[in-house]
Amino acid sequence: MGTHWVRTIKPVSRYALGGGYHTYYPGDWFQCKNMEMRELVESGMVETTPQVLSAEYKAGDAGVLLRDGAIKPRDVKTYGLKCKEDGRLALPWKRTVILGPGASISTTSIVIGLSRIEVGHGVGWEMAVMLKDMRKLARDVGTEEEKAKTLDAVGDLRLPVYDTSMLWVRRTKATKDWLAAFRDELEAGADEMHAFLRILYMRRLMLCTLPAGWIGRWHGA
Amino acid sequence: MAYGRKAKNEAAKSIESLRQYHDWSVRVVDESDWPDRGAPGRWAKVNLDKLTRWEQTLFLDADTRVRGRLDAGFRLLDAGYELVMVPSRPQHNEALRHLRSDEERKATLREVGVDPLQLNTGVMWFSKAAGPLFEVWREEWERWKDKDQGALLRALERHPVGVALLGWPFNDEHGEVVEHRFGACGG
Repeated sequence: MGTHWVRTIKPVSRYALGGGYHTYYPGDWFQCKNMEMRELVESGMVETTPQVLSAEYKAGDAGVLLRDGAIKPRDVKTYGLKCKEDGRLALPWKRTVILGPGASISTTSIVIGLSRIEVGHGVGWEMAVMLKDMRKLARDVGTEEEKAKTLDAVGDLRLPVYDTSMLWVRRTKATKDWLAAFRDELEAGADEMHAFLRILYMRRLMLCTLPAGWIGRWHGA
Repeated sequence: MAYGRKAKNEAAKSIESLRQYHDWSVRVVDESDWPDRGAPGRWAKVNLDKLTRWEQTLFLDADTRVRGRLDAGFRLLDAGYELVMVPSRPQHNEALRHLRSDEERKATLREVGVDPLQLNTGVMWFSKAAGPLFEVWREEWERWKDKDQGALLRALERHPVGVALLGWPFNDEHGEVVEHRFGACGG
């Protein structure tokens, strides 16, 4: 009936039906409705079961694409997500999480990231990506040749760089174009961070930028 | 935005610094042409789309000093982005500490996606196409009539637009392109 049991991770104060507030401490379980559960899960206050999460987040036509060297997250199928191990970049589902070499991410984080590329009121983000490091700029990474190409394409190298090892992508005309261009660049041996910036800033993409360390907060949640 | 004597002095210095690099037309908004409401200058900021006559506009807080060329933002607007901004230094748990209302802070965290990227509104390039976002930004600002950054996050959640990012050199206390003297206007 839209009510789920959740387990407290950080203290949560809730209004009690009998009046006043009741505080739940780490390890306590309580029941709450869908919307409250979603807010509490997303803020890292509570956790719940994969079955509840997969139902609540409606994974639908979504999956995880593992590029060469990516680590397969645990429990992917339990969350209703499909999984494909394929070195080649592609968008096999309406919403695809592309994990690259070295990417290590919990399935909860994958699912929460997918919620950023849901379509809300007719508009929505097409892709969600974390920044690599808040201090790191395009001028600080890659070869001189790559920097020169980016400078030529974008006009400046004082751009924050993205962590391209984890990409949440909704399949749209713009992301299909982006993917084809990104794949071409990578197959030609381009530096991934520079290639991503060059393509991103030569055409508009509805990108939801996540702060560096976003995954750290949710890793293992 | 130049509401008050300190802000007017700061704006004059900011314009002087801009002139070292660009001969662009400049408009200063003050009490004489746009009423102030809530926290100083914030009502004007969320109405920037109405206050500009240009297709593409660069907004600079009065307490900024330009130390380099600013074409990069316009180039990103030319690529189709509606808004070009710079991430704030405070992120994660520190991000909304500037909001004076605990209620607004809690509501913002509840309404936006988990751990959103905080954007500093002190330096922004925007195109006419950002108009609908400004409309929603005004609605969100009206809820508490205080700072503008929490309202922007909520507005972007309701009406996402293409946002391109430039790095801290373009808006920071020690920015090599835009030095931001945070708090120099006293607002």
